Amino acid sequence: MAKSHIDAAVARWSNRIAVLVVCGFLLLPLFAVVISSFNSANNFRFPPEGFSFRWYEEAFAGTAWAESLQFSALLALMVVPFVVVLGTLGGYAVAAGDFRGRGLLSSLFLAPMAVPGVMLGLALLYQLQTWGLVGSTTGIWLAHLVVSFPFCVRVVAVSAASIDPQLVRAARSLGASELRAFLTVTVPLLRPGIIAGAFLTTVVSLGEVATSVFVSGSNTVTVPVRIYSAAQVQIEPTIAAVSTLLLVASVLAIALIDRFFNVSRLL
Amino acid sequence: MSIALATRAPRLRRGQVAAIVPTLFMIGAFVVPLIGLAMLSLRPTNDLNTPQPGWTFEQYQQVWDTGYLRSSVLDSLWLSIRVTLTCAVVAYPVAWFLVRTSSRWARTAVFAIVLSPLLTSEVVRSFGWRVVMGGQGPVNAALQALQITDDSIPLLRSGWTVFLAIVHVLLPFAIITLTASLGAIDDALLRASANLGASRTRTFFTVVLPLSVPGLTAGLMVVFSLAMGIYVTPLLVGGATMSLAGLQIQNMAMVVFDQPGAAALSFVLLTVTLVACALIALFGSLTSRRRTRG
Amino acid sequence: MTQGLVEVRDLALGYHGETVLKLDELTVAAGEFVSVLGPSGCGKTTLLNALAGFVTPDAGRILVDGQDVTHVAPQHRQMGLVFQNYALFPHLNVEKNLHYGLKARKVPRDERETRVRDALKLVGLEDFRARFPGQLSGGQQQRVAIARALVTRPKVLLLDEPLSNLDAKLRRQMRHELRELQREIGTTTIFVTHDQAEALAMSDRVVLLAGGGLEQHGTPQELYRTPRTTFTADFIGAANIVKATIGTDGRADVLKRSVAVPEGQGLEAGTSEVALRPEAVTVTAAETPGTVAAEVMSVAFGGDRYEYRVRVDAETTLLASASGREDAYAPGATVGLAFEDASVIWLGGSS
Repeated sequence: MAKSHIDAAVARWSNRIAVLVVCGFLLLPLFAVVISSFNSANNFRFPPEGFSFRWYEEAFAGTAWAESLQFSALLALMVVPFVVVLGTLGGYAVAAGDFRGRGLLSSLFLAPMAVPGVMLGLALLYQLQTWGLVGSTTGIWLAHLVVSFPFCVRVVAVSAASIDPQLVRAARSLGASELRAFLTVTVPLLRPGIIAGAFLTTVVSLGEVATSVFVSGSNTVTVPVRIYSAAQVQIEPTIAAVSTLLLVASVLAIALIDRFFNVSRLL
Repeated sequence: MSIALATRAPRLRRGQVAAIVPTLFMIGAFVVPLIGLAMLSLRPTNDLNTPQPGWTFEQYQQVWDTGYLRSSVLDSLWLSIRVTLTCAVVAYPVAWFLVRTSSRWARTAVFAIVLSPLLTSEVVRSFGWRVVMGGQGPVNAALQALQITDDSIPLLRSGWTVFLAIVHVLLPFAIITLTASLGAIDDALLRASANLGASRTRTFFTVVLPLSVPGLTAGLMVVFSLAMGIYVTPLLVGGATMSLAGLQIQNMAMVVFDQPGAAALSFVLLTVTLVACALIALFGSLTSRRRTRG
Repeated sequence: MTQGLVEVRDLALGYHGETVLKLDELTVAAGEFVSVLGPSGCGKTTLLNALAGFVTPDAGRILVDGQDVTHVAPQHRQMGLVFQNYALFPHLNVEKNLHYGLKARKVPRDERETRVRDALKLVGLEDFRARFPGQLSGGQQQRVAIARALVTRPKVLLLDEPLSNLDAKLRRQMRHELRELQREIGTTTIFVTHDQAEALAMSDRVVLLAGGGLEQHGTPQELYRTPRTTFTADFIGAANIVKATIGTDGRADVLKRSVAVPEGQGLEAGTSEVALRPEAVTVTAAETPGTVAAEVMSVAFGGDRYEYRVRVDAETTLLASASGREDAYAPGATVGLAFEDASVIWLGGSS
C-alpha cells in the first residue's frame, strides 16, 4: 500500500512540475515583451535598468505607429460584421444542415486553416494584382475575411451542433416559415457562438501577419505587419510597447469570449 | 381554403439556403485565387520572371533542379517532424493535468496560459523570443549570473532557438486537441484499470494512450501542417537565411519577385504536407481500427 | 367536432429512394383518438413526419377535411405537434413558448393573451408562466408542450411518443390526463408510440404497423381479443404462441387437449398456430381433471397474480398465471394448466 501511495505522489508531483515548466516556457517571451516595453533605457537588457512609459509615448507620438494602430482597429471593425454574418450562415449550414455534400462544404469552409499562410498570401496577392486592388484597403480586408472566416465557422458550428433540430420543426409546426424559425429560434440559440465568433475574429484580425504581409500596401499597414517590418531592420523598445498594446487587446477579447463561451471549445 | 392557397413545401433541404452566400464568398475569395496560383505555377517566364502565355512544367522543374529549393522542402519536412513529435510529447502531461486536476482554479489558470500565446500575434511571440534570446536577454543574463559563461552567447539565429520558437507557436494546438480527446475518456475506465490491479503508468500506456489516438492524430495534423508553412517566426527569430520552404516562398515572391516560381514551390509544399497528413491520418485510423476490432 | 378528418391514400414514404412505409388507406375521423403503434423501424415516426409536413411522400396523398395537403409546407398545415423530447424553446419562458405559434399566425395581441391564459389553465400551469423550460420537471414540460401545440387550435394534434421520457408513475397518470384533455377539447389526435399498453389504454382505435406496412387496425379490444396474425397477437399484450393441429372433424389438438374449432373463420385442417394469453392459462394443482401437466421453471410475484414460466414438453414453454392470494408453487413442482376453449385465439384464418 505504502509503495503505491508514494508512486501516486511521485506521479502527481512530476506531472505538476512538467505543467509548470511548460507554462513558464509559454509565458516567457510574452513576459519578456511586456517587461522590456517599460524599460527606461534604449536596450533589451535583463534585468531592465529602470521603469518608464517613454516607449509608449514614442509609439503614439510617431505617426507611423499611431497610423497602424488606427488602421488595425478600423480594419477589425470592418472585418468583424462581415465575418460574423458569413460565419454564422456557414457554421449553421455545416453543423445543422441535412443536405448532400455537407461534408465537402465543411472542408471548403475550414480549408483556409490548412493552407499555409504564405501560400494564401501569395494567391491573394496574385489575384488582387489582376483585380487592380494591390495595397488597397479592400485587398487586406478580403484577406482578413478569408483568414478569420474558418474560425468563426467553427465556433458557430459548435453552437449549432448542440441545437436540437426538433426545435426548428416545432417552430414550423406552430406556423413559422423557415426564415422566421431561423431568426426566432436558431439565431437566438446560436448567440453564444456568434458572440464568441465575433471576438475570435477580432483577435485573428488584430494578430494576422503571414497573409497580410503579402497584401498590405504603404497605406494599409496593420500593427503586426509594421512590427514584422520593423523587427527585421532593428529591434527597438517601441516595438515592445506596441506589442504589449496588441497583447492587452487580445487578452481583453479572450476574457470577453470566455464570458459567453467555453474557450476550450474554440479549437 | 387557406390550405389550398398556401405555398408548396420547398424542395430545398435545411441549411442549403444559408450555405449559398458563404459558399460564393469562399469560391470567390479562396478557391479562385488558389486556382489562379495553380495556373501561375504552370506559366513560362521571361528573364524578369514575368509570366508569359502558354503552359509548362518548367517552374516545377526549376524547384527540383535548384538545390537550395529542394533542400528547403526537405528541411521544412524534417523540422516539422521534430516539432510535431516534441509537441505531442510535451502536450500529454499538460493535457492530462487539465483533464484530471480537481482544482478549478488551477485548470482555469493553466488553460488561460495555454491559450495566451495562441491568441497573441505570431509577430509578438517571435519578437518576444528575440528579446529572450538576445545578447542581453534573460537567458544570457541568467547564464552569466550563474557564471556558466562570461560573455553573452549568440543564441539567436541558431536552429535550436527557431525550433523552440516554433514549438512555442504550435504547442497550444496540440494541447487543446489532446485535452478534448483525453476529456472524453470515461473515468470509469481508469477506475476499472486500477481495480484490475494496473499501476498508474500501466493504465496510462494501456488505456489512456490508445484511447487518445484520435485526438492525438488530429492535433498532430494541425501542428504538422502549420509547421510546414511557417515563415514569420523563423524569419524574425532565425533570419532570412534559414533553409525553410515557407521562407523561400516569401523570399521568391516578395524579394526576388519570381511569383511563378513561388507558386510552384507553394504547391510542392502543399502536396508534401497533404501526403504527410494523410500518413498521420492513416496511422491514426489503423491504430483505432485495431482497437475496435480487437 | 366538424373538423380534423384525416385521410391517407396510397401513401409511400421513404428516404433516398428506399421505401420505409406503404399505407394504402388510413382514415382518422374528426375528434378521434388514434394510436399508431409499432416496433422501432416500422415507419411510424416517418408517417408522423409526413403528416406534419417534414417528409414529402414518394407517392400518395394526405387529405385533411377533404383538402389535399400533401405538398403544403409545415407551417400551413395546422397540425399541432408534440415531440418526444418536448422541443420547448429553451431561450423563451413558458408564456413566450405559447405565444410563439400565435405570433407566427399574426393573432392580435389581446386575443393571444386570452388564449395563452386559457391554455395554461387547461394544463394547470398558470403559476409557471414566467419559468424557463430548464426550470420545469419532465411532466410540466410535457404539459407546456401540449399547451403550446393546442393554443394555435390545430385541426389535428400529433403526439410523438410524448410519454416515453417520463417515469413509470407519471406516465400512468399522464395517460389519463391526456385522454381527459383530448375528450374536453375534442381535437383529432394521432398518437405515435411503441408501447402497446399505452396504445391500448388511451385510444379509440389502434393502427398497428409492422415491416413497413399496416399489420392490423381496430379498437384496442378488437386487437387484443381477435388478433389476426401471430405478430399482432405477440405484440399486443403478452401471448403464448402454440402449435395446433386442426382435424377434419371440427376439433383441434391444442396442448394435448381437444378443443372445438370455431366455425366461419376459414380455418382449414392441418397445422396452425394459436395464441393463449398468460392470464387465460391458469396454474392449478397437478392432475386436476381436464388440465395439462407442466413443470414450473420459475415464478414471479406481481401483486394480484403470480406469473409462472412452465414447461409442457421439451419444445413448449409457456407463461401462465395464478391468483396472487395463494402460496406459489416452487420451481420444479408439477402443476396442471387449465384454459377455456373460448380463450384460444385462432391465428391465420382467411376471413
